[in-house]
Amino acid sequence: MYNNILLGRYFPVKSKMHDMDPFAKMLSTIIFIITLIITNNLTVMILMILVCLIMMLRSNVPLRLYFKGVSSLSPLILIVLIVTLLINVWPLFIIFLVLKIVLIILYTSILTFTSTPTELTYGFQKVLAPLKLVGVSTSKLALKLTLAIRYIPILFEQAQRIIKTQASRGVDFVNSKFKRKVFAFFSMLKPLFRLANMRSRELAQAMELRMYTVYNKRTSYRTKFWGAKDTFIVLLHVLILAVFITKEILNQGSLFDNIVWDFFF
Amino acid sequence: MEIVFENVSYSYLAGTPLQVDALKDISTTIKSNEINAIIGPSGSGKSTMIEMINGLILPTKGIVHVGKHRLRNNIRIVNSNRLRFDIGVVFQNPEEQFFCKTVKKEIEFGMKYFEYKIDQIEKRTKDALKMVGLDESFLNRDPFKLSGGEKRRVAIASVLAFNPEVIIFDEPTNGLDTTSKDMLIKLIKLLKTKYKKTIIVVSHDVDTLYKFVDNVIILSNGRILSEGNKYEVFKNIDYLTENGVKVPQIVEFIDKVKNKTGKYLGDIDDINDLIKEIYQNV
Repeated sequence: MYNNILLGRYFPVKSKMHDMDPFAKMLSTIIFIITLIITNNLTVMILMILVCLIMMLRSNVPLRLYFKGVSSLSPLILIVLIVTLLINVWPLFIIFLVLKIVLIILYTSILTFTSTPTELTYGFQKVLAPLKLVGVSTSKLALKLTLAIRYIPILFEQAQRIIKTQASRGVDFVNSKFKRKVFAFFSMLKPLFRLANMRSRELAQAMELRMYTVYNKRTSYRTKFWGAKDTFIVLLHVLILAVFITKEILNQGSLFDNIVWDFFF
Repeated sequence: MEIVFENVSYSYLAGTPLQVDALKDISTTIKSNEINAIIGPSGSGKSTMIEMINGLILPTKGIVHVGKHRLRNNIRIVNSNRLRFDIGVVFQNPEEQFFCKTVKKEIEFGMKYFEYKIDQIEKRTKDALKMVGLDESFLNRDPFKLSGGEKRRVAIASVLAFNPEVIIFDEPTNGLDTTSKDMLIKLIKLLKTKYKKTIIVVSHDVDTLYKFVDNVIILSNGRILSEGNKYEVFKNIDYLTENGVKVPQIVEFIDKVKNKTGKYLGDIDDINDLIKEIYQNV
């Protein structure tokens, strides 16, 4: 049922993407997502698909693993599709929207497949560093975000075990009627939340026992340093964003005069 | 109910580079009305085997015959509810199954799903609780506030209550004190002798298992290393030790006595019987 979850997992192989500085990867991801959200330009979209595909190929992670991740989130895409169809929007907008969701999943998968939890935390800390100026504890925020990402596969595995336990007591998660399915779902959800809560408390205690405290200044042990390829990748993303901004200003005179903006306002 | 594995293989994340072959071409028979143990180190395929018996996962290759049920790859189990009714599993962590507010509701949970009549449910709940050595005062208690041993007993009671033909215990002695262990062994023996159940016990605890099981299947890296009657299996001490399998202390002791004195004390699985034998023979 929930046997083969790949979303959020680290894939330990050697590749150019694995060798990149986590901060560069994180920065590229943010620029990529921002560009993706604000654009509806076909040229920019094609460029972004190309960049995403090249990075996926350079990661040495089999492409089918990326698409497995997308298929595991297909219910979410389906819900978005239904909602947009119900409110009767332009068909091209729906295609763009689905494409954007798929690209976001694929691109964030590159990040999680090629970065270890420590690298992710380091990347988050660097990206969030400017928030320190306004008094936000960035290390705390980075730790929370990393743990949240890493908790996805753990929660899936836990859910899988609970489903098996309840199924062996007769709960049918697949073939029963709707009312029973709802009840079955709760029989999974309740222990899942309780165990997740228990686990996170244990994890926090274990970290504290090993003197981990987010308030202290910490040094970072890094095996990956910013190099030419990192600059190139980040610049490539900045370039795509620049292409989009220039095109929008030249064509319409306004940056936000695009379909997304029209749709919401 | 006899369970037959016929050239069964199972892989997790099959078809991906992360593929793990949990079972590799296994053929074995789990005998009816006997206590069968599945032993092996972590990752040897024990849990995969028990999940397959209950139809929670289907083999990647081969067939599993569970009584009248046939489980094979990509073929939906006909009457899966009947299969689950016939096979009860007591999982390692009771916390994963509890979600009701009282012990009573927790024990009734399975019976309701298997559509027992209400008057039967009431009676069977009390009987199941009694069998695991807990009194009726536990019925209205919160299962989450019980001790580790009590939680385990409630989990066992919730399976016994719906009266399955085969009962699987996954690491049943984990975290139990000696008294609770002894109580559990007595209960398992009773289930075999009085209620004619087929029992499957999965555990690392070879010393405890040796006391009460009839047959043993030893798994290593997804393959069967040795199987059969426990006395026969553990006679090959050198072979098992070479393959990283821990041999029960009692077997090692009897072997040492035999090597030193030339006297074979016999097939003994209980420490008290061993002491008696020593007094009589040595």
